[in-house]
This record gives sequence, C-alpha cells and structure tokens, in this order.
Amino acid sequence: MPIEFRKKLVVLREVVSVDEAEGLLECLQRKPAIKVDLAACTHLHPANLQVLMAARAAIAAWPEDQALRTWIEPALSRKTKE
Amino acid sequence: MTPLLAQFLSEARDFLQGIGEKLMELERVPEDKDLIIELFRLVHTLKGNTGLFDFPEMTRVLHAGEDLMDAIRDGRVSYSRDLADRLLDAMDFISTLCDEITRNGLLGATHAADSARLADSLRQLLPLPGPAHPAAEPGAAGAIPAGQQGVPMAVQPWNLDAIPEPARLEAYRRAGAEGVVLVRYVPGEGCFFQGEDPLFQARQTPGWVWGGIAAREPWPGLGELDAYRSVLDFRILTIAPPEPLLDHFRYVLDQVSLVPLQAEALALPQGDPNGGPVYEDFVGDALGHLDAGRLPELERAVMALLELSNPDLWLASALRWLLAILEKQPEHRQALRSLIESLKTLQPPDWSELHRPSPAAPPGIGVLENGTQVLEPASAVQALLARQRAILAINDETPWQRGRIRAAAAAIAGCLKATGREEHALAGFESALAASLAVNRGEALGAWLDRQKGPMAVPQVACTLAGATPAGPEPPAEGAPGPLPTEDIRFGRRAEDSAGGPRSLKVDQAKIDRLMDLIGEMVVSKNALPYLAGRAETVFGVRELSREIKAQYAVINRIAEEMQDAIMQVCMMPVSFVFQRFPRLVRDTSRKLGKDVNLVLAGEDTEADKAIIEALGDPLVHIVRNSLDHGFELPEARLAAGKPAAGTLTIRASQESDRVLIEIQDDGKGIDPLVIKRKAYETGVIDEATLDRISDQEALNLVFAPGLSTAAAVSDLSGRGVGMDVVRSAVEKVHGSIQLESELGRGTRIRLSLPLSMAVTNVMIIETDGQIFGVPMDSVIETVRVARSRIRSIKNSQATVLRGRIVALKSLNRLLGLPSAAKVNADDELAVLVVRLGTEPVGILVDHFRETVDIILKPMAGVLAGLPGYAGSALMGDGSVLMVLNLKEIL
Repeated sequence: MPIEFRKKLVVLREVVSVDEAEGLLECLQRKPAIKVDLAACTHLHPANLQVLMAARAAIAAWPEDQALRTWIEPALSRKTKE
Repeated sequence: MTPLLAQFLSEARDFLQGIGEKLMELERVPEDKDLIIELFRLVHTLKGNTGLFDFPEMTRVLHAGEDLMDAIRDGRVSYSRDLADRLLDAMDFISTLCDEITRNGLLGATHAADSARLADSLRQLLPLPGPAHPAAEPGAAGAIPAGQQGVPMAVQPWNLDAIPEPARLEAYRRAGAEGVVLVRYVPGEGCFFQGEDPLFQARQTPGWVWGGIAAREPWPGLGELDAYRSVLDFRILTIAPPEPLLDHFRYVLDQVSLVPLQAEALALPQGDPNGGPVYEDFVGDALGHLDAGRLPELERAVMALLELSNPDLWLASALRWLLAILEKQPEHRQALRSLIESLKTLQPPDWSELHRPSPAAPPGIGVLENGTQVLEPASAVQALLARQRAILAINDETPWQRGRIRAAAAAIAGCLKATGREEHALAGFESALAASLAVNRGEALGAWLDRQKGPMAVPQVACTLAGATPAGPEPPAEGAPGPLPTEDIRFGRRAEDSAGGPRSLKVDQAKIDRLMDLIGEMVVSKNALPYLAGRAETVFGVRELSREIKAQYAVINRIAEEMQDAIMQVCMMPVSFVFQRFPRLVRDTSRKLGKDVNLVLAGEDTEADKAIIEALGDPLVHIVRNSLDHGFELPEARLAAGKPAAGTLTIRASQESDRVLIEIQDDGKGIDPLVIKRKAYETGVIDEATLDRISDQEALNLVFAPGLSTAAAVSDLSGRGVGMDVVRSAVEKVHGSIQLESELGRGTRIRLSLPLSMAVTNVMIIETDGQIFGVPMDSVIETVRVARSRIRSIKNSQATVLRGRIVALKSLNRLLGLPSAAKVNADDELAVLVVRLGTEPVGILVDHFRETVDIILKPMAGVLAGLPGYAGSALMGDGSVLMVLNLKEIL
C-alpha cells in the first residue's frame, strides 16, 4: 500500500498515485492535526501534493529521496511555519 | 496502425479537403454565414478527432485554427485573404503530419516548433483584447506576461532569488556555454484528468538543477478543495539548452515558458545586510587587484573576508559568488567588477544590462508564451552553428562519421532556412556537403561554415568547443534578423502536390448500384449459356459443341459468382455502425430516467448490406428506448423483486445462413398481456370478441399495432403511440421480420431477422394461365396440393382446412383478372401456395409450382411504376422477363 493511515500519522510510501488524493484529503479533513511521514516516498502525484499544501499538513519525516525533497520541501515547510 | 488511427487518417483527409474547399468558396463569398459555420464545424471536428491520439502538434495548430474560426463566426475577426492563406498553410501542415503518420505510424519530434509557429501565426489574427487569448507578439520577447489558452499565468513573475543560493551556485558551476534556462510550467487545471503527472514531467526535465512548486491561488478550506483541479505552478532551473527542453515539454508547450539566461545572472547575493554597506576598504582593494589583473590576490582577499564573515550575511553570499566566478570565468572582468561594486550598495548587480545591449529578458521575469521565440534567433542560430562546427571538427573515423556529417548538414540547412539565407548560400553549401561526404571528413563543410558572415558566422567564443581560437567577446551579430518571418513557413503542399494518395476510397452510392446492375445483367446473360448448350444439342444436334459451351459456362459462372460476391462485400458493413451509438444512448437515457442499466453488445462485427444496416438504425433506437423506458424498473423496484439493482440490456447480432439476427433482450419487468389486451380494447385496436379469444402471445404482438401505447404518460421518450408499429413497418420494408417474447417479471426479448443483402432476392416461380410469376420466398410458408373435394365455398370465397386451421383460398387468376380457372393435376388436386399475410396464412391457387431462383429485383420504373401489384421485375436466363408479385397489394 502506498498510503497507510495510522492513528496520528499518515505514511506515504513509494509512488503515491493520483487515486490516493481523495483518501488523503478525507483523512486530513477528519484529523487536521495528523502528521505526514514521507520518508519512504519516492514520488507523489501533484494531486496529493496539492492536498498536503492546502492542508498545511505537518510533515513528520521528509522524503529520503533528495530530489523529491528539494522539490516539495519549500512548498510544504513554508506553510507549516506560517 | 490501429483501425481507429486508420479511420482517423482517412477522415482527416476528407476534412482537410473539405476545409480547403470551403476556404476557397469563402474567398468568393466572404460574408456567407453558413459557409463559415460549416468551416468552423469541420475544423472543430477535426481538432476533436486529433484529441484521441497523441499528436499534440496537430491538436495545437487545429486548436488555434478553431479559435480563429470561432472569432470569425462571432464576427470578432473578418475574413481576409491573409487569414485564408494562414489557415490553408496550417491545413497543409496537418496534411504533412497525416502523411508522416501514414508512413511511420507516429510523428517525429521535429514538428513541435513548426506547430507552435503556425499556431501563433493563426492566433496573431485574433483580436488583441480578447482576454482568453492574448495574441502572441513574436517581436515582444519577454516583455508582456502572456497566458495562452486558458492557462492563467500568474501575473507575478517569479524571481531568481526564490531559488536557494546553493542551487544557483551549482547551476552556475555546471552551466554550459548556453547559460541556464528558467522554466515555468503551469499545467492546465484539468490536466490530472488527462492522466498527466506534471510533477513527474517537471522532475524529468533534462539538466534539472532546482525545482520549486507554488500554488497559483490561495488555498481554499479543505472542505472546498478540489484535489483534482490542478492549481500548481512549477518553476525549474535547468542547465540544459532550450532544444531538449522544448522537446521534453512538447506536449505542453503552451503551458511552459522558457527564459534563457547567462549563467552569471544567477549571481544574486542575498542575506542579512547587517547594518548596511561598510566594506569600502575591501571594495577598493578588490577593484585594485582586478584592474591590475592580480586574480590570485583577489581570490585570497575574498577567501580571507569570507572566513571572517557570518555565512548568513549578504556580504558572504556575494563573496561566494565572487569565488565561483573566479573559478569558472576568471576572464569575465565585467562580471567580477559588477559583483564587487555591488558590495558598496548591497544591491544585486543588474546582469541584464551587462550582457544584453537590448534588454531582452531581465533576470527574474519569467514570461514567454512559447519557447521558439524566446531565443533571440541570431544567438540561437549562432549557438547551433557553433555546435555543428564542433561536430564537424571531430574526425575519429567511426562508422557513423558519415551520418554525423549528414546530421550536421541538416542542422546547418535548417539554420540557413531560418535566417532566410537559403538562396544566397545554398549553392556553396551543397558543394561543401558533397565534398565532405566524398572524403567522409567534416573539414570541407566546416571550412565553408567558417567562411560565412553575418548571423551565419560562427562566433569565435563558441569555437572553443572545437578546440579552436579561444577568448575574445562574442562578436555582435551583424544585421541580426528579427523574429522568424512567419511567411516563410510553407509546407509546399499546394494544388500541384499529389504524393501519398489515400488507401481507402469513398465511392458514390450510385456507382456501386451501377456495378450491382451490371453484375446482375452478367449473371442473367451467363444463365443463357445452358439454354444455348441445350439448343446446340437438341436443335442442331452438335453434342461436342454443347459440351464445350457447358465447360465455358462453368468458368464464366465461377467468375461471375465471385464478382457478385466481391461487389456485395463492398456494400457490406458491420452492425457496429449502428451499435456504436447505443452505449451513449443507454447511458444518457438511463441516467435521465434514474435507472441503472448495463449494456452488453455482442457480435458487432456481423456484416450486412449497407442499406439493411442503415435501415436498422431507427428501429433499434426505438426498441432500446422502449426497453429503457418501459422495460426496466427503477433500482428499488428491482431489488424488491430480488433482481440486481442494475439491469442488463443485451444487444446481440449474429448471422444465420442468409439472414442477420438481432436480438434485444432486457431483464426488466416484461410485458403483461392483460394490460396490453385491456389497453388495446380501450383504444379500439381490438373488439370485445377478440379480447376474450386471443392468446397471450397474440396479445403481446398487439404492441406492434398502430396507436397502442402502454405508457401512462407521454414523456419525451415514449408514450406517443407511434413506437412499435413504426418499428415493424421499418423492418418489413427491408424484408425483415420481428418477433417479441416476454415473460412477466423476467424481461422481454425482441428478435429482428433481416436479409443479409437486398440486392439478391430469392423468389419462387409459379405458373398460372400459361404465364410465370415470381413470389418472394420470405412470404412463402409452404406449397401444398389440395384435393378439390376438400375446398369449401363459403359464399363467394373459398377456404380449406390445413393442419387444423382454416385457410382462406384466393385464385391468382381472379386476383390478376385472368379469365381461366386454376388447373388441376391428374389426381384432381389444386396447387396451393400458402403465404403469410401479416400474421394470417392465405392460400393462393396457382396452376404449377416451379423452382426457386435468386434474382436481382428491379423495381418497376417509368409508366409501370404505377402498377402496385408488382414488386418489380427480373430478367431470366433465357431472356424472358419475370414479374414478381407484390402479394400484399393484390390480396
């Protein structure tokens, strides 16, 4: 499963496809305080990214994939600081 | 090539032809509204069709054409000859692309630029203030923020300082001679639905150094967020030259803007100003070192100050950049000076003034609609030529040396064309190329290239690539040509062009009919040969000749039959032609009715005569609609009845000997014969006696009676009482039959049986009063001999009992107005041809039965057309004419 919903953590792994965005959005709506673990994520479809950005989700772990991290870190971390 | 693609190509040619013709007509009558609408429709449809395939180049041009036609249609733009020229050019381009697809099954990547240019040339004609499509001004490179095609480019340009310094430093170190490119990629809002992954696309950018993502608009609350509407905006810093970038983004060129920059433009120090500029001493020293050319001293001074400074300071950042430039471009005094002087003010140096005499793209303003025009043509051409020069200088005797020379030559030729120097330079170029190829070495062509002047001159700096003379600033391009003149884009496909004709042919129906007639006559005259053989034997007594004629006949017969078959094949079409509209129809209708229906199609490739297939369309639609409206229950009712909520509608076609069977089956509520009976009685279709007498099956058949509708209310779907009887008459018109079976609560099945072809009719020949007549076989039930004693006369009419049923008898002689009575045979029996008339069998008294034959039925024409008693005539093998009776009319 590329996406796993735990009690206080959403874990995204490997390639997160466009189909997961719906579930992710729903989860973040239900639990706004939930954290997101991207450590094992290698690519995520921008629909998911939009959800994370809009939700200003707190990121528990950044992707180990440096290239992906470079891409998404500014977009996601700035929001959390605000 | 898939059938879909093949069909698209064949249709595209028709469309292009049509567009061309309409444009020509429009030149004569520019105000013709209908023509314009028709033209718009053609372009629009063609564009829609291209969307099915992966041909962005095609779609882009057609889209521009469509927008333009739309503007003309709305009167925002008036028709002009220039407009027609550009549209025709665009269509020629599409036609070229079609040819390439026909040849290779796909499109090369080489057309992207042409496509974008053509699209622009079309869009230029659009009215400027149109908010949706600001026309691209090719000359104003980088000046106007432009959004295209509903891609709302955010007004704010993105600034270089958004890129973190380490990324910029890295890009600067790795950048090649062409500098770096800022890419801004704004995917369309609906792009997720088209299966695009813009982030993936952006991540795959060649030469990627840094990438950032921003939202184009503030995020709404999570409740209103539409995760599938893309509002992201991607910014990419890459060190790849523009060509591979254009190729990489070729599907989304209209959503991408490229801004090429000199590498040093990245040197924008940033950080904490720490109380303002206080580094006068250092600036003085550093400039001193620089002026004296003491670069090592300068470097040491910079290092020393850097070690003392807090790395977060603006100063430190500027020093890091100084080091980077010292390392990479120590000869670039100007850059070093600007950077050092910037320490005085703590304002970033303005790199754009440094390098571009005409401020083309100030750093940080990332705007341009279309990559091809971003590059200053002169410098782009120079860069390209320098590359080719370097390639030509390689002489490593590899097997692909020849190909390499050719490739370089092709690129140079392209440059020549682009700079409009084709005519002047071509002769020398060709001979240089020939010389190069002859010895398989690049020098000749390279030398020729070096001799060129002006924008074609190879800049010396770039030549360092090839290990030639180093140093020296770029010579300013002499007479740099402006943006590429759009008039030069011609695809050389005018009226004189005829290459690559289409492989499928559209033929006028009349021509096929004529072929059909001719083969009919051929069959008839071929059938005369056996008679001739018979005569040769019996009349002239030459058995030899008779046998030879028969042998010849066999040969001609075979060929004629094959020919007939082939011609019939031409007219055959798969039933999918009518079936293809059902998925949509069922979906829309069932949704409107709030029902849930799955459609199952089977046997779509069953073939039948075109006329039959076409005649089948409307009846089938009627039946399917009826079934959706009356047959299927609402999901709740279905569940209550123990059936799955979604109903299943099956349409199945199959071939059974010479008939096509079409079966439409639903698993709905079925038809209640009692309801039909009552309804039929109420509407006066049957009388009270019939009401009591008829069986359930007969009651079901009443749905075919005119004027009967079981729907309580008239809806827009059915209930008007013109349903099933129209269906039946349409089916019968093509000699088909229709059957209905229904089981209450379980569903309804309607079976259509249609002849494969209408061209050949099977008739039975009968004889009466010394004449022969044909009776269509599909109405014949049986032929019987009935003893005269068993015929009862009831008043004026006769009847007999056949298999327990009373069959009315009619004498054909009397029907035709012939005076003689029907003949009896030796056993005192009459020949009775039992035919179906509606649902009732009727016996026809004739003299003799003869064989059944396949004939080509010709409808009665001219004065004879007024004789309703005959369905038509046919020529027999012996030259006689057979009249085929129309039983419905004479009975």
